[in-house]
Amino acid sequence: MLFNSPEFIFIFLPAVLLLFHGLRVGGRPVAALWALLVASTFFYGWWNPVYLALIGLSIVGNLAVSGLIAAAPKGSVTRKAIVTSGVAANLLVLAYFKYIGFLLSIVTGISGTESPELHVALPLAISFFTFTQISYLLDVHAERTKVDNPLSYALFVVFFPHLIAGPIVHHRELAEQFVPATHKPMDWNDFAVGMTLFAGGLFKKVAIADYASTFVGPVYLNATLGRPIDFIGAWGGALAYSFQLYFDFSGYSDMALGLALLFGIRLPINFLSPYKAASLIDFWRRWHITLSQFLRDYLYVPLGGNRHGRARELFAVTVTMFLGGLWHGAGWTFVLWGLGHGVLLIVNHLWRVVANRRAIRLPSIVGWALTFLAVTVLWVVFRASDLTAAGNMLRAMADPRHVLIPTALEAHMGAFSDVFKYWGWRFDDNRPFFSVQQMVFLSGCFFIVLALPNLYEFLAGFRPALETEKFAVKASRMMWRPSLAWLVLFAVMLSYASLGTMITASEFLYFRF
Amino acid sequence: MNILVSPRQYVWAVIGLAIVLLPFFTVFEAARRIGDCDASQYSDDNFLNYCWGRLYGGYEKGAYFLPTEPAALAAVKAASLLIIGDSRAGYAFSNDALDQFSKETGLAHYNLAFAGEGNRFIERLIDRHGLKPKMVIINLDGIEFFDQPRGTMQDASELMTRELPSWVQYRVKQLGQKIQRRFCHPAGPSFLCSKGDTVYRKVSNGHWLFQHRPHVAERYDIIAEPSLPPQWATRREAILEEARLFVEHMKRLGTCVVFTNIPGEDTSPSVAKAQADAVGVPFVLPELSGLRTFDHSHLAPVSGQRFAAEFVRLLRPYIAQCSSR
Repeated sequence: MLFNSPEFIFIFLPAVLLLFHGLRVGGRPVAALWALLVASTFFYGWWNPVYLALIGLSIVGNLAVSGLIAAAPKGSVTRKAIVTSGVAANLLVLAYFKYIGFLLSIVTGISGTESPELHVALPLAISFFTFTQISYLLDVHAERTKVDNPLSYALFVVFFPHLIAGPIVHHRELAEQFVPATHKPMDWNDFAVGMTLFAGGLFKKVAIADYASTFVGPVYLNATLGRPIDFIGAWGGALAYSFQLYFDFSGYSDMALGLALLFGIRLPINFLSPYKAASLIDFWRRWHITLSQFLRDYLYVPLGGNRHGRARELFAVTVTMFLGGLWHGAGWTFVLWGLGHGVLLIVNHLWRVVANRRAIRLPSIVGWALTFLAVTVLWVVFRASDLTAAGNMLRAMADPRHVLIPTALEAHMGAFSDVFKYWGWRFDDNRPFFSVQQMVFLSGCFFIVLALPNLYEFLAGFRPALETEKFAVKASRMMWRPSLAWLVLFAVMLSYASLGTMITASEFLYFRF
Repeated sequence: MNILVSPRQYVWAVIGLAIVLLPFFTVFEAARRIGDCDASQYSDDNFLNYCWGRLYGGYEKGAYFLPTEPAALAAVKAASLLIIGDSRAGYAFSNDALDQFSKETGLAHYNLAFAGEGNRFIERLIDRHGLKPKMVIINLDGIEFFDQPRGTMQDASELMTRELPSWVQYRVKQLGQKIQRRFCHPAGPSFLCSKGDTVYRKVSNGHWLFQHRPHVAERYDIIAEPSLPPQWATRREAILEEARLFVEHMKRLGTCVVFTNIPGEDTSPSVAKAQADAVGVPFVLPELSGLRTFDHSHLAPVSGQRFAAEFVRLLRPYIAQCSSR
């Protein structure tokens, strides 16, 4: 079930809210938690009930392993062996379902044999629930959290607001909230803030991201088919995808946090205006924050991090980003995307060292422009169906001699039209991929992501997420309050987006990872 | 506007106002989405079949499946001869040759082709509405009609699996058409009444109305037999199995099946014939020279007329054969 589907918005969500709060307020807190567990399981099984067995086994197995870890003496070889086996088992399951096809294609590609046809479907959210549970095992091992009871642990894994596409939560952050959430009186402030986040996220997804996709698809299809794409069309498509992914993931993250808040639970912030970042290092502190933290804590730091010299640090960054790329999908485009970010992060780190030594300070606009450019170009690789298509797009983006302009604009350009023709540009309606509509849309997107505060800044006074203070979320001057103006704005957004869910239901892009 | 309300009032007011606003947004969206489509061809016997506007797309599948066009479905049910296939069938079998054939034989025909669609959707449509035509003509360009990974388009999948949202979606599209019919005239507002590329469809016989499109003309020669589609090598058995199941299904309904292959670039008559032979179905292929397409892919009007006329001539013995069963 998708957050942006009518069955979720009009049936599932109201029913679960009524059930949960009804039981809770009626003095049956344990039943309320069971109801939430059953509802979350139903939510997951709606996609394909067959994979309920997989997630169920995974939960039972990890809970059992955590018990063994806790029972083993601290610092013992046995304890280390158990945690290593537990993590390895999780990774093996993930590898089988997500990467077996990719690995086989590499093997058959090298050996020149025919690739066998595999019928392994990728279970929904496997990357997310695997990482969530790996972090639990490692936290139990490090005594950052305790072994949980089955109900609370199962709910920690399958709690539907975060199950499908994050945020990736730590056990200690979430599980300790379940019992208090069922005992406190109805908190209408949380409910109002949660609904505001949900409405804002739904609007971002339906009204902006899905609209952006209409500019993206045709360009990338041409790239896949090897058909011509002009310079402006290629950049238009690349920018539109940058914004599609931004609003898609930002919208999803807002909805996830908002939904959790409707049940009195706070999730960690996962997305914090990443396109405002003035460096790539800063970008990764704002984009998919919980994944970045997971990779940092459980991969980058164990690989040596920045504690063993520069060379080791660069190695750790490269490996972390390579695996981070692979986490997003089993394909060369994801590998290249991850490596691209890894290399540029290294450049960013080295530049910082040089700039600090020589006291060089670039204007932040330059840092921002370079960061946005790098991110957008690398999204092309991320979005392309394969490396050939990525190459076609990037070549078009690097060839300013090939430009098609809609003929309707010729009359408005005056003498410029002759200049353009002199440059070799053509006025042609034969599939130019850039339009005035698109220009207006992209300008609007730039305005929203760069000039406006994000939702957490609007809502900062109401603690919409865990540890908002950690991210130095500044309260906006246009602070949200339960006032008539905000009420009308979010009612409009909710209404328009709800209608949109019925007219065009599309998957969240991060559901695939 | 800065009047404060309690959080509880805020919650209920947002929900209430959102519900109240829904009808207004429905009308707004219906008009916005159809605004890129050509509004010039509506009539009591036409509906807008497909529009290349970014926000509209196809209407045809929901029109028959749900159906949002019950009169069109009634005409489908009344037809003895159904033409199914993809857009090549839609364009090639939308002319007087078919009308003439129906008049002469007394067999009402209906062009039930859907752009880019495969057998699963058609099968579901036939079962859902209890269609029992005497004969179905299936256009096999090559392999796509029976190739499931490619053959079921997203809109058809949505229709088959998510009926309630699809119903809303198609009703909004239909509302857009009603708004255009009501407000579009030569001086109508340009945001609502554009000249975007659009195909209409006749309610009574399913013919596609595309001759008004500016680029439709006899333009491109057809390459006789292009290279075989790669899926034919890798998925041949799966495709033939799908074809067998479909034909058996039709036979259980008492329906005769005939395969054909409408020429165009990227179509493969030899693969179509191989499928017909493998599943034991007659294959009718007019052999005509000088046929042309308007876009490399679809027969232009005059060529379509020639192809259809020759096709129905060759079809007659099979009609007699089918009637005698």
